[in-house]
Amino acid sequence: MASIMAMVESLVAEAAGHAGAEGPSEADTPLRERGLDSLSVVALMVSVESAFGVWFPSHLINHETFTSVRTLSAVVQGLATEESL
Amino acid sequence: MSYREAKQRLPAEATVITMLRRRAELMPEAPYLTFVDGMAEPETVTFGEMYRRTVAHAEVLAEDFDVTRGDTVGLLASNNAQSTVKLLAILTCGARCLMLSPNDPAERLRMITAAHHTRLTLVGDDPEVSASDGSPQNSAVPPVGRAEDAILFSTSGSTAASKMVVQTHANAVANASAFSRHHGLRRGQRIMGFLPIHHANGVHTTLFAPLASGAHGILLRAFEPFGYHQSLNRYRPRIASAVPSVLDALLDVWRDERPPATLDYFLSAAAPLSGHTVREMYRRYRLRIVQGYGLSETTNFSTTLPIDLLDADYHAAMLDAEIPSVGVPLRDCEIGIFQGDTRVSPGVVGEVRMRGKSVFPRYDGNPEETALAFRGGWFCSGDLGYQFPTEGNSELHLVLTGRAKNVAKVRGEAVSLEEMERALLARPDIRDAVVLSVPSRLDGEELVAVIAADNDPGSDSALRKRLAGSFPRHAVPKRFIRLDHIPRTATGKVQRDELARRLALPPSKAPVQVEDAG
Repeated sequence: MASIMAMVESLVAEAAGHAGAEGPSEADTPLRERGLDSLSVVALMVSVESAFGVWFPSHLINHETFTSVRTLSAVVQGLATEESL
Repeated sequence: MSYREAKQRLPAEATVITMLRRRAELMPEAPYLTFVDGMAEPETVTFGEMYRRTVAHAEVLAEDFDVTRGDTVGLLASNNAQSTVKLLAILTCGARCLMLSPNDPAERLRMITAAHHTRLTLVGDDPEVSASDGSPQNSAVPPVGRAEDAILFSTSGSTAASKMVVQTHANAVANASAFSRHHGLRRGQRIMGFLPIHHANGVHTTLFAPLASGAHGILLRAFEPFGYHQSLNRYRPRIASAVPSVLDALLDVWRDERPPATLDYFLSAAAPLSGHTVREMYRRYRLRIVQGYGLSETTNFSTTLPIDLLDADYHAAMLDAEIPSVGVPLRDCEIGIFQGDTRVSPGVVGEVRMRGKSVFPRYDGNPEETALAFRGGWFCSGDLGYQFPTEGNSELHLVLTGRAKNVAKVRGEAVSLEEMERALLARPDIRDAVVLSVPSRLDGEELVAVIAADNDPGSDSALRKRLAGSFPRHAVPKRFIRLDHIPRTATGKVQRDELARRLALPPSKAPVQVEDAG
């Protein structure tokens, strides 16, 4: 989980940098406060999918998944585990 | 159009306010706008109610704030009912409404309002104050003429020198009527949008087109990628207004979702649509994207793809085209392609120029820039393109190939590269600066600043902070490239394309030089 979170964190930082904002890098900080707007969140989703080789199913593409680094990492871990089974 | 409606075509003297009053008389109980803000209960305002609220608020503006004909009143406009009431009330007073973005930095807002002598600025998120029940009989406000100024939109830039487009009532009515006719909008049909109403597109497409047609506008507070599909299903619009980056985002997030069958098409504007987006939307959903084009100088839309193209023509103009078409001229708008003063034939690239009822009269308080914007009675867009014929249409289609001016479009907002360069050069530590525009999937274009400095001008984030006060947030460069010196020609010009190539930046469509572009 720690390595997934580190990776997600770096992708979030990249997406936030894109939006020109610099916020604190805490796992529970809302992504909005990190400077990610609605379009940046979609860009983040695409970059997470390609970085981890996962595919978010429709029911997981929502605000709950994309709340913070922690919530997103948990979903990614779930998807990665499913796919390796 | 029914016979009854045909008999009630807009009179030639119509203004935005007479359009509203006519709807309030004709169909007072019909929904005019539904405002949707996330999980909050949506607010639907009928034509009758909007008229009453507008008149009641106009009385307060006129009587308590002495707002009178010719005044300029700022409006920090959000996509809600109060902002719409305030806009229409300002117009009812015969004043000019200067549209301001609540997201703009305070410094930028201060400069803009000061430069255009704004009497007062209204905050669109606050509830509107009303003196009476808004019954029109009580109104002491004199009627407004159609040639009078209605709305002011800032085109680009941040300083007092930025160009402020003046749109008259006649411009707004012409655009709303032509738009409604082109899209075959009828009373009760729904058109959904989310673009901010402090932009021309939000005002004209979502707020004014329903006034001309009797359609029902659905205005979302903002684009929410995860909630948009639900809104489409709930409100089932016939037309959904969007921009290319949002259409791309929808293609990314829609997995099992499908657009409702009631959706005829997406209307896309503000930035060039890629062939990929057009093809994916068609391949996955058999859904068409109707692309339009215009500038705030031409009110909103000058051209739009015909909505009833034959399949073969949709393939030719959109699916198989290298650059998707922005369609044919709307009624009362003429398009000319020029090289210098010579109008060129179909297929030949030149500067796109417009004339007609939706073309603006002037930049506010700026006769020099106004004179530069017109040539032989035509408005010079600064965009490059060519026209071509299709089988099924008598009008020529327009294809845009680039821009003649050094203006980037970041998230639909025009940003002057030269102005950002001036802002960078305003500090003595930066000796030379060039701002380049590179394509961005997210923002359409993004800016990269190339700087030459004698001393260390500070970190990227310090440089960003320096620009953040004066430019829209997304326009502030993500990257700063430091060079010893910036290559310029003997005449001091920068060859932006050449510089971008040397820096291994991806090629941009803008700027393209043509001979004597304007």
